Amino acid sequence: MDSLSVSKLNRLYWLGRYYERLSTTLSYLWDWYDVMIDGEIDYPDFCQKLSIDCCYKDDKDFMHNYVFDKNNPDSLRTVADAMLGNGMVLREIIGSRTLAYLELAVMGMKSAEESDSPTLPLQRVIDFIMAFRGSYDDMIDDENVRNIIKCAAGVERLSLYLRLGWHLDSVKSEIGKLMKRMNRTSLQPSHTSLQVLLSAKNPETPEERKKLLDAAENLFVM
Amino acid sequence: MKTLLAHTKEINEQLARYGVKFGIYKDGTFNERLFPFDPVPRQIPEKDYEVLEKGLIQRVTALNKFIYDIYHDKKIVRDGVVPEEFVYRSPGYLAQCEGITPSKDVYSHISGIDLVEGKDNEWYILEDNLRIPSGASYPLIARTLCRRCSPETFKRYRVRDNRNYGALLKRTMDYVNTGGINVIFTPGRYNAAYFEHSYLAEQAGAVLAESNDLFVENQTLYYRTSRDPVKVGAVYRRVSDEYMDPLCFEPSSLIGIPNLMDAYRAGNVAVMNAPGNGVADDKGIYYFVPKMVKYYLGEDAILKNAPTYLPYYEEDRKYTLDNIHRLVIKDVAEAGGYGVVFGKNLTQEQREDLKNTILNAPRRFIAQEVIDFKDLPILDNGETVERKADLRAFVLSGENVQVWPSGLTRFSRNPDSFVVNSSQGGGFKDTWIVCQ
Repeated sequence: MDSLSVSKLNRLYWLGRYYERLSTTLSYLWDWYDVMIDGEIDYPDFCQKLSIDCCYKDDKDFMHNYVFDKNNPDSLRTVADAMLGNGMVLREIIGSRTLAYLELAVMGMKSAEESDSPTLPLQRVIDFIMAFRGSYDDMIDDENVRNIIKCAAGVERLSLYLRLGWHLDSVKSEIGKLMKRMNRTSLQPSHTSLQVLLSAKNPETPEERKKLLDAAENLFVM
Repeated sequence: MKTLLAHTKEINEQLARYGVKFGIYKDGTFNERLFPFDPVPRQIPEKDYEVLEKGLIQRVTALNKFIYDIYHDKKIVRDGVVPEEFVYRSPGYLAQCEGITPSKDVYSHISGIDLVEGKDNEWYILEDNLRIPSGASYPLIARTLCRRCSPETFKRYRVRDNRNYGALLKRTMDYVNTGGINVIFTPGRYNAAYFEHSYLAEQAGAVLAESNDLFVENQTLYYRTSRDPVKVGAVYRRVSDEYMDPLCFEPSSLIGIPNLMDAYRAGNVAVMNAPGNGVADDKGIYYFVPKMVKYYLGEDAILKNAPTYLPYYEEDRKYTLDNIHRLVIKDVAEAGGYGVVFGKNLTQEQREDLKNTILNAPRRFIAQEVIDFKDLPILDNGETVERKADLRAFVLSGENVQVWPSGLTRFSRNPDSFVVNSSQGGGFKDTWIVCQ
């Protein structure tokens, strides 16, 4: 059958967003944490950029609870659980072999939490997500399915770059990739957001970033 | 075999990797647990299996005929073989199913028959599960992983391949399909057996759907897609009868499909297993299954029931009350290992209470001799210990009735317990049919 149910389409989309959120945020966090060691920036700045509640006692509490606390709705562990939760209901579409990498990523989060140097074993989480990315691209025959996941990942990456002010010089190129993929899916984009993104250039001001961020977030209503 | 046993931990890690879990609700909270796997297989020689196979096919054939009869002519009741109280007071009997003939007359497409092997080398049926028996997915995936772990073992032992379960399920669905796609209908990811639902959908090439993915229009079941709706020809539902259609059964059900029964009644979709099957797997009806075999097939039952007494009958009631200290008493309305009481474990006062309860509601209970069933070896922290184990055999009824050459062997991890259910901490083994 070549048609997806509306709920499966929704799940695929959020699977793409959550895996990208987990891997990109972890990668960013490493760079950012390195700067934080020298005291040049502080975690409230990070929370503000992502518009998340700044409920941490200190740097150490932030690094532990933002990454690992499964009861914290903003934590990366919550993101990982949501990623797996969406993947689990798509087993017959993405396949058990591909889904296994999401299980491994969540297991990797749990075992990293037990380490006395937790940021190092988190590398394995990123490795598993990269394996997931390769696996679904290689193993899923349905082009629509593959491209919905990629599209959603593209929206998430764009969103994070714009929020964090990171890799702003590649925003236009990310939009280009997103547009190409979107045309190979059954996703219905918002016409207004599409116009903004199609005419975008790499943003230079906070206002330009905000405009692009709104367009990316509202591109698909899921 | 040594390689296989030496890698128990790694095989269990592989099972975790594939998400082989089951869910449990405790104190209103849902938790997922890994289902502990023991790599020491239950081995059944092919010669013994052939007897089991014949007996299971015979039993399921008779049960299918019984369900048809109950919802149509009721000859077995009229002829006094099964008392009507046991049919119409059974919570599994659904008046809404009266007169409905399912596609190709098949009611129990996937039957899970629980057995134990006694120390007398005799197999005994413990219960029939004809509604939504689960468990096939576990030995199915475990076999694949065990073969990967220890190919030498499988070169040395000639074990019947069990990895065709998905194909058997697909064939069964295709046979009764009324035209359209095959769907596995799950209550959702917070169901205890969700892993199984999703894995079987993948293995059988079926679409996994929840209630909001499906709707009925003009007495036809459709799968809701982002384009046009797609007709469903067979739905393997993993939702209990009472929650399946809120317009026909429990009105508060949020996990059902409104009007599904209309589509089923009109013959526009095959529902697997058929609603109303519970009338035949009731613990009270179990007593009558050997009589059904004789009645419908004119044969003696090949497989024995555990010796069972119905307190409903005066003679059996007296026997039960006199021997309660050595019998196991089962509440017919319970499942999953709940409502099972061993008389020997009760205090005198508790026994008296139970006797009174039985006297007040004799139809509610059955009593069985405690079968001294064989213990099976399991690995417990590297040491081999003996534990109680049962076997759930899967029988698929499509164009013909076929036994899956494997099964789920569940064992108790507690040395003093006869209760093997996963929901109560049990583990599982693969079941090998070993060729000579």
